[in-house]
Amino acid sequence: MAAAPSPTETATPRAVGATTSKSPGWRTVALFLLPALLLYGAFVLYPITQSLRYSLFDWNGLGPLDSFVGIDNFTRAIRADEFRSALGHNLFIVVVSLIVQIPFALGLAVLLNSKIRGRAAMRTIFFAPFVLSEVVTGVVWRQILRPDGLVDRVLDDVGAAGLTQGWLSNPDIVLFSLFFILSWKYFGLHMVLMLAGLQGIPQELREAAAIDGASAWQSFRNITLPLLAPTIRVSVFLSIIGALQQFDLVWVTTGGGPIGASSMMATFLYEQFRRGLFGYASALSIIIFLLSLVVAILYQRMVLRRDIEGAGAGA
Amino acid sequence: MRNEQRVRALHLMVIAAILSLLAAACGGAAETSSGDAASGDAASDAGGGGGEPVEIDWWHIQNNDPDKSNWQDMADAYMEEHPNVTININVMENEAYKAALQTNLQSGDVPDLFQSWGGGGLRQQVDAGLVRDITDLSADWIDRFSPAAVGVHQVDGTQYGIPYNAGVFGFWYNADLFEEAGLDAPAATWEEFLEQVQTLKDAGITPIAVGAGDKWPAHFYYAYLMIRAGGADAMNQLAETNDFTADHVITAGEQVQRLADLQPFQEGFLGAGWDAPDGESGVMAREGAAMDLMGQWAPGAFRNQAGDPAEPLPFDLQWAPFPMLEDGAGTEGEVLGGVDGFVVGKDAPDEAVDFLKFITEEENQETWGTASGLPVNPDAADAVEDPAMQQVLDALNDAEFLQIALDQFFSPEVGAEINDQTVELFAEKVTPQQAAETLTQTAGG
Amino acid sequence: MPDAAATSTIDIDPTSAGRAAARRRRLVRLLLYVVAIAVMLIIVVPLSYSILGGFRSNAQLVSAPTGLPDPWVFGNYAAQLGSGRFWREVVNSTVIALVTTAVVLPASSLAAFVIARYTFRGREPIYGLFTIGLLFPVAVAILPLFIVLRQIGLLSNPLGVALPQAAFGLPIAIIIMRPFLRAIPDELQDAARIDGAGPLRFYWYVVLPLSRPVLSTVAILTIVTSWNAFLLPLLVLIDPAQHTLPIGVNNISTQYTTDYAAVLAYTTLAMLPALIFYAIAERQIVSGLTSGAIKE
Repeated sequence: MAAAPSPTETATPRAVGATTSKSPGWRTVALFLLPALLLYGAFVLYPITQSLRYSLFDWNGLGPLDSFVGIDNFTRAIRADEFRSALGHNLFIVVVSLIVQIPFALGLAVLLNSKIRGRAAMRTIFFAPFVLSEVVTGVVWRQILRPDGLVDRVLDDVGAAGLTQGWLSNPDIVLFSLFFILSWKYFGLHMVLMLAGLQGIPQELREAAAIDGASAWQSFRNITLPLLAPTIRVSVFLSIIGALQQFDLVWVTTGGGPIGASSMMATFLYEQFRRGLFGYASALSIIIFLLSLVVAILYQRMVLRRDIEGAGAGA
Repeated sequence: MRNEQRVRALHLMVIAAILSLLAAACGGAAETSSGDAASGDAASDAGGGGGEPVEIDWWHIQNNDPDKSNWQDMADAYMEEHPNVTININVMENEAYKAALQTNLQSGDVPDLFQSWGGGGLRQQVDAGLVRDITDLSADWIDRFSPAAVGVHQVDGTQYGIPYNAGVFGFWYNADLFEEAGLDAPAATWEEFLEQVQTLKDAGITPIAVGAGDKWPAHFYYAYLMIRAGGADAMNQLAETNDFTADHVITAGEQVQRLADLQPFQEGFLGAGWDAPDGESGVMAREGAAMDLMGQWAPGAFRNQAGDPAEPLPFDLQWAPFPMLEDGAGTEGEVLGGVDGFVVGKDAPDEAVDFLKFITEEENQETWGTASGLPVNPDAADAVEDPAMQQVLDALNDAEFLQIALDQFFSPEVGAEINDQTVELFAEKVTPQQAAETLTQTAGG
Repeated sequence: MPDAAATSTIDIDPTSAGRAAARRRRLVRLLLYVVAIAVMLIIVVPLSYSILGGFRSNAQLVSAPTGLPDPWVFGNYAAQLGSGRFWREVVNSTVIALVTTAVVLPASSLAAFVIARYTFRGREPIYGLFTIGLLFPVAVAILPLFIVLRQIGLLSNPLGVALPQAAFGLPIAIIIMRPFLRAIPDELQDAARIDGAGPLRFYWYVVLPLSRPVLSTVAILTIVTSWNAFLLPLLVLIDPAQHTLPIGVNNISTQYTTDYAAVLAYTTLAMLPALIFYAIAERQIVSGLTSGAIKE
C-alpha cells in the first residue's frame, strides 16, 4: 500500500509523509530551502519587484532614477496601438494553437498509440524539433521562406507559382507563417504528452466497450477523451502560457515585423528596452506577468483543481 | 486550514516584497553611476605615456571588404609604428552593432573607439558621462576637416569624436534600366519623378528598391521631403520645438503617401533589410530595381552583393540628387546626409585619439577613394576615382545645410519612432496627420 | 496497447454494417497514416535542407534550392569546423549548461525534498512562490535582470548566464521533483529516524540515490534549455570569445547574408550537439516531461 503512491496522495496537499514526520524544526527546513530561495530571490523575485519599481519612472537606464511618472507608463501601454495589436497577436496564437495544434497532436498521438509500423521512428522525429534551439529554427525557416527560397521554388516546380507569397514579408500572412513555424517546433511536446496519457488508459476499458458493441469513434469519445482530459488540460495550459510569453523564435524569425505585423508582447517589450525606454518596458513586463498570473489562477481554479482532486488516470 | 494558509501566504509575500524593496532602495545608489566599474577588457591607461602597453578596443561596422581589410591594415600599420599599442578590432554588422553597443553602454563597459553618427544618441551618451572629451587632444589637427563634418560629433561645442566618412544621400540608379524605359536620369522635380516611377512600372521595371524591414532606409524619403518642403529654417525649428505637426512635415508625409500609392517598391519590401541578398542592396545588385535612395556606402554594398567587391558592377551605376519640390522652401544646397565617425569612450587611452589622427591622415583617407565611402579629409579628395562618387563629394562640399539622418539626429526614442512612422506611411496604415501627431507626442513637442 | 486493430480482431462482425465500419476504420487509419508521413516530411525536409545546404555552393543554392548537392562541396563545413569560432562556442555553451545544471540540481532537490516530505508553516505558499516563476520568463524579466547583473558585476561573465538560468529553472525542477520525492516510501524515512538519522542524512544517503531518475531528467531538461538559450546570453556576453552557439548562429545569419551555404553549414553544426544528445537521451527527456506535467 505504501509502496505505490495512491491517487489521493498527489491530490491533497497533505502528503502521506506528513503523517509520519512532523516539522523537523524551522532551522532545518530553512537550511534546505536556503540555496533555492537565495538563488530564486536574487534572480527572479528581486527583478520582479524591481520591474514594479522601474515601471513608475521614466528612465533610460544610463543615469539616476529620478523621473517619477506614476502609472503613466501603464496607461501609455494600454493606449498604445502597437501593444494592443501585439496582445492581439498573442491571443491569436493562443486561439489557433488550441483549435489546431492540440487536436492535431491528439490525432497523431492516437495514431502512434496503435500498432502501426515505424511508430518509434515517428515519435522520435515528431519530437525532434522541440530540442532544437529557437535560433536554429528561425534561421532555417527564414532561409526556406525567403523570396525565391525553397518553398517558392517547390511551388514553382509543381506549377503552382501563383501561390507564392511574401511568407514573412507580407504583413497579412506573416502571422500565419509564424504560427506554422511555432507549431512545427512545439507540437511534438503536446503529442508526447497525449501519447503518455493515452498509454495510461487501461486496455480493458477499450476492449470492454468493443465487446459491448461500441464503434471506434464512440469508444474514443466516451472513454478515451474523458480519461485523457487531464492531459489535455495540461497541454492547453502549457499552450496558453507559452503563447503569451513567446519571444525567442518570433524575434529571430521576423523581429516582430514587418511593421509589427507579427509582434508579440515580449518582442514589443524588448523593442522598448532597446530604445532605452526602461520605465515603459518595465511596465510592459508587469502587464505581461499579471496577464499570465490571471490566466494561471483562473485556470487553476476552474480547470485543474478538478484533476488534482480526482487524481490522474493511472500513475 | 485553508484560510490560515492563505493569510500566511499573504504575510510571506508582503514580507518578501518589503525586503526586496528595502534591498532595492539600498541598491538604488548603484544606479546613479552606470559606469563605476571600469571594464576589464580595455586596459585603460588614461594619460599613459608611450612605452607602457596600451590596449584599444575598436568597434566598427565595416563588415565587408575592402573596408574591413583596410581598417585592419591601418590598425596593423599603427601597431607597427607603436609597438606598445594593441588594437582589438570588433567588427559587427550594423544592426548587431547597435544592439551590442547599447548593452555595453548600459553596463558602463564602453569601447575605446566606436562607430557613431552623432546627434541625439551622442548627446545621451555625453549626458551619461560615457564618452571622453577630446577637444584638447585633437585641437592641433582637427582643422584638417570642414566645420560641418567636425560638428556632427560635437555636443555643445565639445568634441567627442572624429569623422572618417561623410556623404550626401541621393539616388543611386541603374542607367541601363533607365535607358530601357526611355528615361535619362531621376528627374529634378518631384512631379516629374513620380511620373518617371510610373513610366518605369509600365516598362515592367521595379522603380525603387527599399529595405523597409530595417526601417531606417525608408525614412530617408520622409526626411528628404521634409527638407525639400521646409528648407533649413523649418528643419532647425523642428529640432528646437520637436513639433512634428509643422506644415513641412505634413506635406512630406503626404508626398510619401503619393509615392507609396504608386506601389513603386520591390516585392517584399516591408520585410526586406538594407544589406542582404533579398534586401535593398541585393535587389539593386541583381538589377531588380532601377534606383535606390542611399548614402555613399551603397556602391560598395552593391558590389559585395553582386559577388566580388573588387569587380565592377555588371551595369552602369549613376548618382542623382533628390528631386526638388516645386513649391517647397528647400533649396538644392540643403541636403540630407550623414557623417560617420568614431567616438572616444570615457576610459580610452590617449593613444586612441592619436590613432584617430592616424586613420584620418591623407594617405589613409585615400583608401576610401576606391572603397565604399568618401574621405572627409579634403586632401584625400583627389583619390576619388568613380565619377558618381565625385558627384556625391561635390554635393557634400557645395552643401549649405547638411541635415543628419533623422533617426540619428534625434534621440534614439524619437528616431525609432520616425523610422516606424515612415514604414507605416509606406504601408498606408496611417495618415500623414496621424504620423505627425504620434511623432510630436513621442518627441514631447 | 489499446488499438483499433485489436478491437476488430476481437469483434469480427460479418454483417455488412460491420464490414463497412471496418472499412471506415481502415480508411481513417490510412488517412492518419498519410498525415503522419506528411508531418514527418515537413519536419525532416527543413532539417535536411540545412544539412545538405552546407554541402553546396552559394551558386547552387540560389539557382536550384530544391536540388541535391552537385558537386558536393566540403569547404563550407570544413571552414566552419576549422575556424575555431564554432568550437569556442560549443565549449562556452557546454560550460554554461553544465554550471547551470550543477547549481540547479542541488538547490532544487534540497528544496523539493522538504516541500515534498515535511509539513511546515508556509509550505504551500513557498511552493506557490516557486511556481509563480513559470509566469515570469527570462524574456519578460530581462530588463531588471540585466540591471541586477550589472549591479553585481556579473556581466560579461558566464556565471551571469548560468546563475539566472538556474534560478529560472527552479520552478519546473521543483514541480517535477516534488511528486517523485513524495512517493518515496515512508518506511524508509521511519527507518532512518529510528537509526538516528536526521533529515539531512536521510536526504543524502537515502533520497538522493533513489532520485537518480528524476535528477537526470531535470539535468537533461536543464541542459537542453540552457543550450538553446538566446536572449540572456546575447545581452550578458558581449565579448565574442564568450558567445554561445545560438548567438553564433544568429550572428552568422545576419553578418554573412550573402554566404547562404556558410550560414546553413554553421546552423547545421549548431544543431548537431542537440540532436545527438536527443538521440541518446530521448526516452528520458520524454518521460521526464510527461511525468512532470501529468503529475502537476
